[in-house]
Amino acid sequence: MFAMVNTKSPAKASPPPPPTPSKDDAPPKPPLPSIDAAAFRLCSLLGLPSVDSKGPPIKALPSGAGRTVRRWLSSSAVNKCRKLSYGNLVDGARRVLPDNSEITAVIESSKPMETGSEAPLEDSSSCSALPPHPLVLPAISSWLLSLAINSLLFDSSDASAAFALSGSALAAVGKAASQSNSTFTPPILSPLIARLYRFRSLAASAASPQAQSTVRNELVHAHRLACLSRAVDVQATLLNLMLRDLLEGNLIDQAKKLSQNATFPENASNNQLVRYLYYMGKIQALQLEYTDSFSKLSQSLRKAPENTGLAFRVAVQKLLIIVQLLMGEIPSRDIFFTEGMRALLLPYMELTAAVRQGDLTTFNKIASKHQPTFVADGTDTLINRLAHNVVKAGLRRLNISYSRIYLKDIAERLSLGSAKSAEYIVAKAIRDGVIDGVINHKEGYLQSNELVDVYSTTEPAEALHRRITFCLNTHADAVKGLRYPDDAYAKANQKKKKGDEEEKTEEEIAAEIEAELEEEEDEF
Amino acid sequence: MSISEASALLKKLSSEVSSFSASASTTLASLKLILVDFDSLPPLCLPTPDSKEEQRIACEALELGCLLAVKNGDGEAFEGNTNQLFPIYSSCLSVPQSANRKKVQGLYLMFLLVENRLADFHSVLQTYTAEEIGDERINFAVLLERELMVGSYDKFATSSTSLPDPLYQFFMTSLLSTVRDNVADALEVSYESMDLADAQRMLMFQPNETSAFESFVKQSREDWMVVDNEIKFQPVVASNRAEDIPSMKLISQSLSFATEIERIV
Repeated sequence: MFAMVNTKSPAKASPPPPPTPSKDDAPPKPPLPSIDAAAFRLCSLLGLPSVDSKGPPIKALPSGAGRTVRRWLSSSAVNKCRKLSYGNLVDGARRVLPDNSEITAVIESSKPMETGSEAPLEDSSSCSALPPHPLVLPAISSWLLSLAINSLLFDSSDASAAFALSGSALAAVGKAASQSNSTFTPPILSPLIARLYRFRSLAASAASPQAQSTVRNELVHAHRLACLSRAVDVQATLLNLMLRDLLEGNLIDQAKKLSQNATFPENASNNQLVRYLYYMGKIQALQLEYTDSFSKLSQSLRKAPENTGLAFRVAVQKLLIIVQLLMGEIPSRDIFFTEGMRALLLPYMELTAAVRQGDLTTFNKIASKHQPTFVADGTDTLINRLAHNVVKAGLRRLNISYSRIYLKDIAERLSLGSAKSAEYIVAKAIRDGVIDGVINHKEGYLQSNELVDVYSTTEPAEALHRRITFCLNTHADAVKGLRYPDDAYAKANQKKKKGDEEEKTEEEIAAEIEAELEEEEDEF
Repeated sequence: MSISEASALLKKLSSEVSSFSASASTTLASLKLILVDFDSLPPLCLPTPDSKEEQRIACEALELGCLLAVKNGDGEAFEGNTNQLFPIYSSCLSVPQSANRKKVQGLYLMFLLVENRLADFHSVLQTYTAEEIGDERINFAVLLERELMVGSYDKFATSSTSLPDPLYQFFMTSLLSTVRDNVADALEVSYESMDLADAQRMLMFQPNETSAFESFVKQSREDWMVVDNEIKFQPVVASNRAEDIPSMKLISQSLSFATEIERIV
């Protein structure tokens, strides 16, 4: 299943090893196994030469190391390694890491029992690659550990082993980090440690509730350290993990308090921001703050990546539909027909249709029919609150369509029970401003008032104001996000200097011409 | 300060609470002093050898404290006890369910409803499992909240006759006055006039409680004019006066536009 790894296109090829005397006679280089290739890719991105090249030795990493590591993690070299089997991982670790590294031992010890056919090992026999630069070793080793946990968790579905491995991984990486004589995480390791914590949390939630409660304290402690050392990736990831943990345990009050006390860093990666917006939206929806929730969820959906993460977008979309219904708006039909979501959103489409009609019995029927789906999605408590909205929508429709309607007819149409409860409900609706009318108690009917001309109220001004502020905010964000190339300022300066000289020469020419004219006049 | 002392006090407390004796609160206070020393309760949650027993005693004592508070009509004491009790429920997962647990959970929901803390109501409801919600004591509160939101107050009136537990009566009486206020507000806006007898019925006064109804109208609804046998509600005045233009808001909006546009280079 796993074919031999092909060499990447020439643009992304790893740097060739330094010229050896027999280079011209040597056979063409065999392709590097994926792990080694990825390791070399990182070295080349960071500008580190391989070990025995000529030139001054490099003692420290360049300053943008964290960003470079993030770019490297999303590159194709790393993505190829994701599907490797555990055996390949162990081999790769043995080759790339120094010989008695304890990390190799840790990976080897967690090797799962092999069941079924093992993927063919990559051909590493003819590899003449040199080990990567020592400065990069902590990053490579933590990346290999994260690959190992990934394979245990998803390929072999062994959550407890993954959990144990993640614990030892974090300990080993922490030791390596502290060896570089600082108590804070070096920036190169920041994205990788974030990844390790994410796997740990996932493994804990899959493993057992006890594992989950041990992880909680760790997450809080690590978050504190990350905030102090400004490790933005770790900070953002841990905040999201803690929010997820609290929301799964239904501790909404605590989740809200956490979000109020901890700030989400501004320059975190987009994926973490999207997750954070989703969790905030969910908390606000559960706490009845529907408008805020709606704006956060729609922002999250807009910023989510379009090609990947379909399941996440479906989850956000479901929650968004329910929040829209709770606000009293009916979502438009076309969002139910987006690519790949149609089947999953079908129960929600039926629910929306029932709410739009305003019939309580149909609504109850559909809610109970799809109850398992809603419980699995975690939206059933929100749907239980929709009864009020069903009645509101139904009343509004009747009020607009009839100038006068008997209360017992209302009760019949909306399945409200008796005319008496209909009377109470209509009175409350008028009080809430849902409908506009007067009840005649003796005759038992509802009379609608004349429709108010909307333009004579402040409604249009409000709507315009909302749109204008949105446009201005987008403009401000765009201006803030402008980036210029680094040497633009220097170029502009140079041009200015040259311009001065030209002007001077122009002035000189002008002076000369004047002088000539004067001379001519004098001659005359 | 031992388990045996605590359990002895607990027995005494439960008998006192069920017999409404006055010394129950002092027994509860001394029991709470013992509970402070138990290490297995939050916020410490250390696993001691007797943790199960300690947690069980703590739960039962606090539940009895809640019931006592409701019987005395003391809302603050009730809230204090529930604030201590609910963290034990959520962190000590191995405590067996006592008989009073669902009762206390249902009563807490009713309490939040009376205080109109709907956000808290829904958050607490979120933490209950589906099985707990199916229980009639908790389900009563959930259905009641739905009826109040939708506005079917007559169903509310019928539910008040079929309480799952006599302790709910305390909350129902406070809810009834809130509901009456809501209905009166709704009546003002929806009707032009109404017969006295009908109004009495709509406001959920019994036919023989005319004096209570009249005092209600006089005290809290002074702008209702009682003419002959009818109540005339004041119509809502549609005003076109200058104070109605939200001038401050318009000014601030226009100023914000101006500052933003100035910033555009």
